[in-house]
Amino acid sequence: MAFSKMILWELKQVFKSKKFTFSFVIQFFVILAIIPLFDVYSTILEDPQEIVLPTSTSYVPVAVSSSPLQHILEKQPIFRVYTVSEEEGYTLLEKHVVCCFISGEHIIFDTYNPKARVAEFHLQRLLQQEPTIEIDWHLNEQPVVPQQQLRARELALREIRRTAEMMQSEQINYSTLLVLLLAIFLASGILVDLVVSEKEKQTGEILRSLPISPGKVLLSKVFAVVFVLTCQITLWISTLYVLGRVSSLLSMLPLFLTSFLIISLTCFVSVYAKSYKEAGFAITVSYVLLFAFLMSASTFYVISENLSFLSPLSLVIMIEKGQHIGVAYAALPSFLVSCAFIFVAVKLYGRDEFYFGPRPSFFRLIPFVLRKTLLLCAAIFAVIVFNSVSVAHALSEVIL
Amino acid sequence: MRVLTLAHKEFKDILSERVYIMTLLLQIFVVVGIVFLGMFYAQIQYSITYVGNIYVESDDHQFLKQLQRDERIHLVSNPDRAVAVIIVEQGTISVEMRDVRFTNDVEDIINRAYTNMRVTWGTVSRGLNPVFIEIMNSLLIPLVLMLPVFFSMNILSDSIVKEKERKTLEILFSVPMRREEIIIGKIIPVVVLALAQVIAWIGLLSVIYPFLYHIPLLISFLIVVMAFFFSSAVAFSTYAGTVRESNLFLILFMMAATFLIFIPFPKDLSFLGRLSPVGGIVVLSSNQGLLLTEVLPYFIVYGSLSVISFLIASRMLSKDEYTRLG
Repeated sequence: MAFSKMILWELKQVFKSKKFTFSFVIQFFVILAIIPLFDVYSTILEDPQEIVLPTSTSYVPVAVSSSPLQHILEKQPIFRVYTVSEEEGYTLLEKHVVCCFISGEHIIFDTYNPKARVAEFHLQRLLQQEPTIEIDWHLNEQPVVPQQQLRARELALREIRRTAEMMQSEQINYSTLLVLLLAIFLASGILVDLVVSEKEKQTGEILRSLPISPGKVLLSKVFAVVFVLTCQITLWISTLYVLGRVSSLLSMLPLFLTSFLIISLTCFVSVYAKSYKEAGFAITVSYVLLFAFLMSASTFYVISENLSFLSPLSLVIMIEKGQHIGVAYAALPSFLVSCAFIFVAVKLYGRDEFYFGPRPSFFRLIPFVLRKTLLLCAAIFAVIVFNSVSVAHALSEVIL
Repeated sequence: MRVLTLAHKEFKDILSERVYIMTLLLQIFVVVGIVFLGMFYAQIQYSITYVGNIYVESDDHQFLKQLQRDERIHLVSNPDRAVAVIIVEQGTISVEMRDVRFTNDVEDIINRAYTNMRVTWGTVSRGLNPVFIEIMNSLLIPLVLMLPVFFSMNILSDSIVKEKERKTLEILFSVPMRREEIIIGKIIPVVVLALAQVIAWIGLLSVIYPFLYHIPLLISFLIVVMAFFFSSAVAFSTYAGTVRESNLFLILFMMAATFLIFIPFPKDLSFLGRLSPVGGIVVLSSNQGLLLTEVLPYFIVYGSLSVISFLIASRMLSKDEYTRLG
């Protein structure tokens, strides 16, 4: 009873805050604005030859003087085209303002300008025309290409395919997942506030005098945030479903797993941190490391599908392929790690030193954490060992 | 003088915070990661497109010259280890493929060389991979140089909101200083710190990638950009009641800025992309020669934005309802 009261009280605190309403409204508009912009990326991916980074607009300055090639260049946003006379063109080239000068059908490059190489790279591709010649082909198979080169090519092609699959998926737009992460970050911001503010305002001591265990106090905060997050995500998903951007609810599983991981990590960091400032820094570092891991782990998928269990982000592809048993199995590690974070946070929250100090160093905390999460660690270890055969097989394939 | 005293005190406060120093160290990790990302991207592109050794016998000198330009192949004088053997005789092309997986690439290489013969191509000195050059100049270098600006906004915002929370802002207002002077005194140490980081990253980047130009002008532009971003941070933190609120505003502001910078505009509005601070950094750092007309708009736009945001910040700071907690 006291527990549900605590949850309601925390929820009231969250919803009462005018700033929450403010950030919620901003979030809504940001999400609405981002979706059409991501569509531009999808369009670009349909024709990879046309990929121009948004920051590459007008990156290559080119001078053009009465050239039939001018209209081709002007269509490409990467070129900054200066229409000049012959004399002006050479002057701009000498002053290194442009990296190449096109006069008629002659292209003169600024020899030592590194951008000239970029200009040549794009021009060679752009000026290519439909073939007018016939080629006589003969096949004489021989093992002339080094295995290393073939393997690198295969890996790179798989990486491109994987990205394209995720971006162009009909069931779920991968970029939509990223947009929804916005809601998760805001929810974790609320959780930091709920946990750390008790320390900063020194109201934690009063909480400890209540007839409810500290673990339940922390869980009430987590449940309140999870409720807010669930409401937000349900709202966004329903909106996206109505807009035809999400067709399978199962494809939302990676999002829920990632959000559980982020929330549990935030919970652990907030319990450990002494102040807002420290929590802010620790969370930034943790997120950078977590995302570096999630993204790099999802690129392991390129090496082998057996490695997909390392990151919930790779689950999107498994779901796409209908490997439902594999999905449940692959979802397990990140779920267990999240449970471990929550479990440790609850245990730490019950200890006096996290309110009154002196707080133990991070390294002294490790044996405590390992002791408390022995069972969970064993479960995670079992999953990893179970996977190790396929992982070893995949890695040996790569090495060989 | 009073401004400098305040700036000196703020500077000491910032350096005494272990968290900020660790944030600076975190950036090294991010910067190195970003550069590796650029190399990885360029390597992927190279791995996909590289065909390998090609042997060519051609009576058309122009065709041979065009093939020599193509980065996807390496012309060899011995056909034994070649992926394809191309023979061009009196306008007919015959190709012997030794690996069928590269047939489409070889066909594209031949077509490109053949159709691009209509244009006379000048010489370009060989060097770094063009994809790597482009991604470094247009994305990664601006990102690295904007990092200290984003990180420092947090420091500045913390400094103002902490004053409000500790109720020392009102004491600061009782000092015979104008509100504008207080803002400047708060901003100066953060600018100095951010500049030190910018200079350190420029030094580090110059070692990895030696094509960074107009460094003094680039630093001047970054100072103008900092003036805009930092004045905005002052305005946000003056409006915010607590550190949490100010962090929330900053996160939303930075998100909006990041999306505006990195999300492509529709083709008709692509010129807007040039107005982002990244556009200015790209123009200044990647061009060997510069035209005043290209550079000036960036300074005018960001100079005006800085003045406007500074005026807003000082106006907000002079209103009691914003400076009192709650």
